[in-house]
Amino acid sequence: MALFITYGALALFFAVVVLILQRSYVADRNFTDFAVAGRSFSGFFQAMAFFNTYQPGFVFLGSFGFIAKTGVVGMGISTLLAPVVMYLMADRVWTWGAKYDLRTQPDLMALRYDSRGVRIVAALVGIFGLFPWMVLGMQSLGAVFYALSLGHLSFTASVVLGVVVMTIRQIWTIRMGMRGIVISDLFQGVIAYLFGSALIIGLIVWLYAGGASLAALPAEHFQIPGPETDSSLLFLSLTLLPLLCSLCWPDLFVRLYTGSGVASVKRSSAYCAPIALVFVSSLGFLALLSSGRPDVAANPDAAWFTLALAAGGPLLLALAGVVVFAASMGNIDATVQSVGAQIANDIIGVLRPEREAMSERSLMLTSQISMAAITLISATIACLPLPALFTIALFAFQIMVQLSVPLYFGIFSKFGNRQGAVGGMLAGIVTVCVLQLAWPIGVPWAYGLTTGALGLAVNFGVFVVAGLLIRRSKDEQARLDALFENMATAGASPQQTEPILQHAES
Amino acid sequence: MSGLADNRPKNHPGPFMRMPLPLFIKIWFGLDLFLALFPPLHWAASGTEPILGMPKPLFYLYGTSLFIGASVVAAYFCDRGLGGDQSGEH
Repeated sequence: MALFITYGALALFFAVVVLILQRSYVADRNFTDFAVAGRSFSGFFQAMAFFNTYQPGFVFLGSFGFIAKTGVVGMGISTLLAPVVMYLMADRVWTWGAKYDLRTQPDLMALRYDSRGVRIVAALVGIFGLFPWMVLGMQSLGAVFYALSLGHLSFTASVVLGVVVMTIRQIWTIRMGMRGIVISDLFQGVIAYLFGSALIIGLIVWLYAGGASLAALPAEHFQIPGPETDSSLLFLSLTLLPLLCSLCWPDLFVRLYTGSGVASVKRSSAYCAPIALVFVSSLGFLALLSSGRPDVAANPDAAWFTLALAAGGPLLLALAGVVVFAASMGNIDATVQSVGAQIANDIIGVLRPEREAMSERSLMLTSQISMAAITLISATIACLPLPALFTIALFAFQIMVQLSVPLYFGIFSKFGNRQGAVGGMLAGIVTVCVLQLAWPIGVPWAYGLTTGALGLAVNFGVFVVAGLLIRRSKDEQARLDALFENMATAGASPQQTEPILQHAES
Repeated sequence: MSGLADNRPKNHPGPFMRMPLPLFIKIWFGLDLFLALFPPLHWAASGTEPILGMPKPLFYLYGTSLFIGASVVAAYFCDRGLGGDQSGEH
């Protein structure tokens, strides 16, 4: 009976998602429809899409466990800063997106630096950075199926089951593209982050009613490494890098294009901030408060399910499982779509000779085939025993954040050039790779900064030096002036769009 | 560098993006970054001593989070650039 409740809840949730997708199906007219849903969604849709991408199911598992193990040092505030970044980027990113028919993050980089090289490097960094997280997302689903099996399934069988379910789900992602993702994100987001917040607060009340207290926790749980330690900048690193990386995630960045206007994107930021405040703060507090319990300390990564089962039996466990299922599903969908779109639009589409430019139909088909292939490859890898997968994902994160220098400089200023953008990213990546071999967590001689932060410093240096030493041509200056000048064309229809690359190097 | 002369027209785009936000919102965003990223504040927030009934690091984290979240909502309501662009919702 208990298994019927837990798995039945997952099946019901999955059926509702499929029903919503089936009823909302609209054939995509072109690749812009497929990749950015025709720039048609309102602020609340976008806010839920933001959460589904930025707060995957992993936050209920690994992130929850990290706070339960380490205390307040794991409770970053970067999630609150990401809406600030999104708000500040909204004007330029959405307007350029509409005017130049941008469909991916590398599209914008190519436009800003007028460079195919920047586009390809940015796409490769984005794809490489996303892939391990896609595999981790699928494995997170395994954790859901394992916890909800109440001991009836082995962990390996649970992972396989989760991967199969998520692979089936991708049929609709491949068929419907971004429109299907954003529509399902609304339902999944309401369940994962609004209902999820209510569930978290209920569990906090239950813990307090049972006598739990912050005063009973060890003092180490309230320590942030200070200047007397060899990791005094660890907390800075844990805040700064996720902040810089936030809009570098290609699947998150592309959400800015899906809004119906600059106002929609800004409104989504205004929705995201209070929702993030409640959701992130309460989840962190629950993890901290529960860390004194022996059953949580025994397996912190599964604490979310442990608490739900203890508080409300199989029914509450089922609801807790649905919350993680919803968050994981939204994240994997967005990742699959983003990787597929970049492979088609920024790798295959760019490497073909100019005279053989891909049609809209070819782009869509290539993207769909790429999405199917990526899904099957990540599903296969997710079923393998890979103890170092999380370490690889953290490494990918340190690589991904190298996008931030050319991306933010490119959006917020005219400074810099394509040589600095490519050179900086590559120098940053090489720095990360070299340092990561010796210091995978934090670099002791750099006060605990991670390899990604040091890579950023090198990346920044190369970008600035190239920007200062290499003078722009008059044509390039005029192109940039025109690009930055006219922000009044927001809302330009795709028919009015202009080419992304004008004087690009071959 | 951008190569812009000092005598550029008044409405010419400068090297950095101009935002249609009131000055106090820009200062507020700057304070967001300062509160979140200034290491001495992190170090000062360490420990178990209570402030307003909660441990010091939680007071810092939640106070900063509230401050940051409020800045985005305030920016949305004060954004002069959104005057005629609020009809895109559906």
